[in-house]
This record gives sequence, structure tokens and C-alpha cells, in this order.
Amino acid sequence: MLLSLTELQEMIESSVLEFLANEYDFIKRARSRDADDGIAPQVWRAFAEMGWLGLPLPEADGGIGGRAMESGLLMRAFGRHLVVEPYLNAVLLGTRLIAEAGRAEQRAEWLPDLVDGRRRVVLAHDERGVADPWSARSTRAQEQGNGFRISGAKAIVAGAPGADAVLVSARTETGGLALFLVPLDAPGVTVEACRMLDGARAADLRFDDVQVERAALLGEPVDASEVLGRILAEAIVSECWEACGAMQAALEQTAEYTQQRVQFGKSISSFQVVQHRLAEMAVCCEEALAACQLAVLSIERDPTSAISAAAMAKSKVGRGARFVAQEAVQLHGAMGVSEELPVASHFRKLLAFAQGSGGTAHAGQRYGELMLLSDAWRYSRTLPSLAHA
Amino acid sequence: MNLELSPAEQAFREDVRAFLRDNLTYELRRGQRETSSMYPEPETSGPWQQALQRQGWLVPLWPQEWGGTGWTAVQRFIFESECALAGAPLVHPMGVRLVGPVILRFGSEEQKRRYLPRIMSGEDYWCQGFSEPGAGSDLASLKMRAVADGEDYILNGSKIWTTHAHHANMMFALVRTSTEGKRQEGISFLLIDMNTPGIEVRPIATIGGDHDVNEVFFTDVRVPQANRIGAENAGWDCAKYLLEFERGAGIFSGRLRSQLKRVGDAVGELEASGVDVRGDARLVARFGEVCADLDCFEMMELRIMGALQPGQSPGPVSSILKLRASRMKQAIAELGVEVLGGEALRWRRESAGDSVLPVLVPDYLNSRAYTIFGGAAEVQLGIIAKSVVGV
Ligand SMILES: Cc1cc2nc3c(=O)[nH]c(=O)nc-3n(C[C@H](O)[C@H](O)[C@H](O)COP(=O)(O)OP(=O)(O)OC[C@H]3O[C@@H](n4cnc5c(N)ncnc54)[C@H](O)[C@@H]3O)c2cc1C
Repeated sequence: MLLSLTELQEMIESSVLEFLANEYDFIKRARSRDADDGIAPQVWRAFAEMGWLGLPLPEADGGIGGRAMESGLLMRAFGRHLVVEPYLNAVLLGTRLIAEAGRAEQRAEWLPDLVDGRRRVVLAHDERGVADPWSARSTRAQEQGNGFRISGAKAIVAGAPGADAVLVSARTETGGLALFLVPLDAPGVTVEACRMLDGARAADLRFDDVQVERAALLGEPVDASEVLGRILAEAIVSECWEACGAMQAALEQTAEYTQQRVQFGKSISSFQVVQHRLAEMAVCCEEALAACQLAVLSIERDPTSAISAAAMAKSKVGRGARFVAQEAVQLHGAMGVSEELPVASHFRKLLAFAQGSGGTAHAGQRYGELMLLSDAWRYSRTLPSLAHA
Repeated sequence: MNLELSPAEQAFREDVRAFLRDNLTYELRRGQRETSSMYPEPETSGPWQQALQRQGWLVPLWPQEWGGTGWTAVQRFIFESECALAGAPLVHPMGVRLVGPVILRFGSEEQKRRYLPRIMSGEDYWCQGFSEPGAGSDLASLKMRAVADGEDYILNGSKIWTTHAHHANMMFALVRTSTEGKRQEGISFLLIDMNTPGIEVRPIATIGGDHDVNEVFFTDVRVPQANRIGAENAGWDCAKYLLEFERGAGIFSGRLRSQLKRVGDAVGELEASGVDVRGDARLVARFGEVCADLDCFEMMELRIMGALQPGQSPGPVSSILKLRASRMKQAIAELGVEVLGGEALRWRRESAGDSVLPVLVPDYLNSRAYTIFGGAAEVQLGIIAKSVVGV
């Protein structure tokens, strides 16, 4: 067993934290939040220069060869600094899906530009009223001649404004789920931009009989459910890491604020009620970290366990995030509901996390179902099972 | 015990309903429905205040000689519940519910004659200048100085979190008139014209994106001593009396129920657009829990408030009501976000027609303030432990 980070992991984590501390403090963050597409060009360029736009890609594709842990560490730092750029949907989903599921010519056409930051592709998967990330979609793709016709709607697609293309998930006539690379300026695509709860930009997308050639299909065979399901699960785990960073930052800010804030002649952190609350928050943060670590280690050990690991982590981190966010605001008093300090932004980030990807409660239900179905609840989650030994 | 209305109570309820039918316009209901912050904007609360004033129902808590209604506690409960359930705007409380009772109790005849009619007519729109950057839960530590100078006081300092100061033409404030002796004994209660030179109001942005609260700066602001309520250095008594009204005199059940209706309407709206909300067993269970909590809150509030004689204040049990009401508010708002699911990720969309959906997320964000203002939850729990439990 190795219970500490590797050298590469430590290097990634410290370089991300150092960059963000210098270039992404709460004041500088505003230039990303206020930028047209929620992306400050110099920030995205810096991400490219540091190699982060290729983090999850093999070195052969110009990447760093990072796995779940590396992505997690980066996302935790992003969460601490409330990065608004659509890293998750563009890199951990868009780029990664092209790298893992794309055909050779698609990889050759897109990956160099994506890793360089010249172009951007995001995944358009979520639909209104469909909570479970792994369930069927209503967007349909019908084969027609030598191509497909896509119809449907995708809701709140993070990073879509300004993206060059989206990967649209759609149900095919055979019942499988296919991914199509569709430029946003294709005829029949409607883009309605909106702002997200955490300051990021997104768009509602409509596809009205959008004609694409067969070459737009990502990979072959048509059914991409397996790879999409797994990579979505890994992205959810990365979101958990991001939430973990935001929770830890909220805890630290609250600890600092309550030590400075004097009422009744003492710092309010000297009241036992406040101390116990801070202590409960700290416990939540530690547990959330454990959930994230367990999830990535399970995935690295057995990629097919990704969905179960994601459901477990989301349930655990989601519940902790709610508690930490609410208490952080409460202990700041009125300051907590104002924009004078970052804590309100952390609250919104953590709310967005809890609501996204099907929501916290749904993840708990999913995990319960998977456990009961598989009997896995009988066995240790950390020690290798005999089958793997 | 029974919950049946007497014939007189029944008739009263019919009167209230008839009044609501005739006066509560679509615009007013819409203004209230679209309010995600604590109080509706003056263009919504103002006309409703006028309608209540014409009917003689604006100030049920005041003595009848000053326009009060002489209602029993049960009548007031009926009135507040019917108004809230019909979707009537919240009357801006700063004048009628907060400073009004203080003027009635501690003000001079002249002050009553000057201010009370203007509160009722809505000519004066009030804000509350209690909190300061250094004085929140520990209100008695407030520092804003008022130094006597001839007939006037000269004010220097600042107030913070002042709700609707940007709309108000009058502020009631606690100021420090002495730094000697006990802190509570050097505070005076002043009425301040917001148009006096030297006052500057700066907005504070808040978590839900509304403009509600402000910071108010005072630089050599002259306020006539005649604007003081009660004796110099006796302002703390006014403040304590006012806080009793702030915490205890509201009837929360109807407002909470109308907020729950907004969530229930959201369920209907989503289902009509093809989203299967009721198919989510966890959500349904949570809905049930919140409903059960609210039902019991209503019974508790009715039992406690309904037992009061006119003018009697509920005392420390009002902390139980305030605490539970604030948490209920948050629980209902959170349920609204749960109902929205992934749609909650959208930030403040424009209101569209009669949709209740746009208001749910800002309402939840703003609901976090309910366990903070008017005495934070921790402070209420302290009062409950001390005065209700008796430890
Ligand atoms: C939306 C909003 C509107 C407001 N409107 C007005 C207004 O119009 N006029 C006005 O005067 N004020 C207004 N306020 C201010 C409000 O009254 C104060 O926020 C409140 O009194 C709490 O003070 P504080 O924010 O300074 O928090 P603090 O007193 O700094 O408290 C911070 C945290 O410490 C806890 N704490 C403090 N003391 C103790 C203790 N002894 N034991 C345990 N825990 C403790 C608190 O409960 C809280 O969780 C408003 C506030 C909000 C949020």
C-alpha cells in the first residue's frame, strides 16, 4: 500500500495551488466571472501552458497521463479558488471522451487544438427532468442516408457559450446511446446562453433536425454508453474533489472569521456553541476527503466500479457540503449572506454541486441499489477483495 | 379544545375574504410571488398598505384610538393567515409593526400626532438603524455617537445591514449618547430624516442577487433632540420593546404556508412540462416531512398567540416561534430547490408569466439570512435555555 501522494501528484497539486494563489485570488477571479464566456483568455492560456488541458490524456496525445487522483487534486484546488472556467466539462469530459472514444482521425483533428487551448469541446448530456446521469436520454438520432438527424434539447450545458463544438449524447434507433460531435453553428442548433449559480456560463441547446454526417459519430461502434458512463462517473468524482476544496476553504474562512469577530467582548470562536459547530465542519471535511480518495483508488483499481464509486462519493460529499456551506454562512452572521467576503460564493458553489449530476439524495439511492444488488456491502471497501488479489 | 370557528369568527373570516377578493389585484399578488427577498419592493407593499388603511385594517396591534382594530388574537390569526394564503403582499413592517408601537408606548403626544398618521398613510417609509459593523448579536456594544449641540445632536458613525435604507425617508436608530456606566445605559432612540445632509447610503450585494441591505454612513449629521423617543440614555428600553415586536408579534404560519404553496405550484408546473416530480419517492417523503413540520408549527403558533390578550406579548416562548419559523422558512426554501433538481443550477432567470420557478433559488439563498437577523438562532437558543427551560 502507498498511503501518500506520488511525486507527480504532489507536483501537480502544488503547481495548481501556486498558480491559483497568485493568479486567481478572489479579486482576480472576477475577470473570469465577468468575461463573456466565463473564461478569461489569459487563464485558459495558462492552463494550456501548464499542461492541464491535457491532464487526463496519455503522453502520446500530448497529455500528462494523469489518472483519477491527478484530476481530483487539480479539481480540489479549483474548488478552493472557485474557478469558473469550464474545466470539468471541457477537459475532463469533452477532451477526454474524444481521446478515449474518438476514431484516429477525430483524435488527430481535435486533440492538438484542445490540448493547446485553441479550440474547446464540451459534453452536452444533461436534459431537463432527467436526474440520473446514466439513464436514457430523450434526444434522438435517426439514421438517414449516410448520416444522422439529431433532435432534442440539452439543458444548462456548462461551457457551451464560445465552444467550437459539443459532444451530444443521443438515443439511436437500436436503443443505444451515441455521441456526436456537432459544431455549435450547425444549421438547426439553437444556443441560449445563461449564467450558472456558481458564476460559470452555460447554454440551453436545442437541436431541430440537425443533419450530421456519419463521420460526426464519435468512435465506432455506435453505442458509447459504456465509455460515457464511466467517464461521467469519473467526472462526478472529480466534482466531489472540487467540492472538497470549496468545503475546506469555507471551513478555513469561517475559523479565521470567528477568531477575528468580537461580540460580547470576546472572539465568537471562544463560544463553545461556535467551537462545536466548527469542529463538526472539520469532521465533514475530513470525511469528504476520505470519500474522494476512496473513490479514485477504487476506480484506479477497477475502472468498472466507477459508477458505484461516484454514487458513494457524491452521497457522502454532497451531504457534508450542505452542512459545511450552511454553517459557514451562519457563523459569519450577516457577513455570510453578503458579497463582502468569499463565503457566499462558496455557498453557491456547494449548492450547485449538491444539485448537479442528479443531486445528492439520488446518489445515495443509487448507491443503495448497487450495494443491495451486488452484495458488495459484505466486504471491505479498502482491502483488495480475493478476486482482485 | 376545538378548532371550530364561532359564528362571529366565521363571519369575520368571510369579511376578510370578501375584502381580499375586492382589493387584492393580480399585480399585487404577482409582486409578492416574485419577491425572493425578505420584503417586497415599495411599489408592491405600498398600494396594499393603502388598501388596508382604507379598510381600517392596517394596524391591528395598535390601540383603537390610534387606528387599531380591537381584534382578538384569533381574529388576527385568521386575518394574517387569509391574507398570506391569498398571496397578499407583506406590509413593510418597519413603520407599522416596529417603530409604531415604540412611539405609542414611549413617544410624546406631539410625536404620536406627528409620526403615527404618516406611518399609516405610508408617507414615511422607515428603516431600522440598529446594527453596526462592530455590533450585531451584541447590540449594546454599538458606537455611533450622538453629541448634544444646542437643540440638536451631531451624529457620526455608521450603521450596517440596513434593510431598504435606499427606499426609506426615515430611520429609527440607536445611538450612543453616553460612554459612562453600563453600556445599555448610554443609548438613545432617535428618529432620523434620511434626507439630512451628511447621510450616505451604500448598497451591499447579497447572496441571492437582490438589493436589500445597505451600509449607512453619518458624517456630522444634525438631528433635532426633539426627535428622540423617551429620555436621553433610555433608548435600550425602547429597543427591547421593539425587539419583542420584531421577534414575537408576527404571525408566521400563513406566510410559511404561502411559501409552501409556491413550492407545490412549482411541482405542478414542472409536471405540466413533462418532468416527473412525484415519481421521486425521496422527494415526496421530504415534502411530507416539511408539511408535517409546518402543520405542527401552525398549531403551536395558534395555541401560543391565540391565548394572548390584546397588547400582551408572548414573552420568551416567542423565541421558540422565531427559531422554528426561521428554520421552517429554510426547510421550505430548500425543498423548492430540491424540486427544481438540476434546474437549480440556472442563475436568476427572468421571470416568465406566472411561473414560480425563477424565484425558488434566490429564495433559498436569501432564506439563509432568516436564522441570522432579528436575533440569530444561537441567540434564540440561549434565550430558550435560560428563560423557557430555566437553566
Ligand atoms: C438580510 C438581513 C437584513 C438585516 N436587516 C437589518 C436592519 O434592517 N436593521 C438592522 O439594524 N440590522 C439588520 N440586520 C442585522 C442583523 O440584526 C444582524 O445580522 C444580527 O443581529 C446578527 O449580527 P451579526 O450579523 O453581526 O452576527 P454576529 O453577531 O457577528 O454573529 C456571528 C455568528 O456568531 C454567533 N454568535 C454570536 N454571539 C454568540 C454567542 N454569544 N453564543 C453563540 N453564538 C454566538 C451568531 O449566532 C452567528 O452565527 C440584518 C441582517 C440580515 C442578514
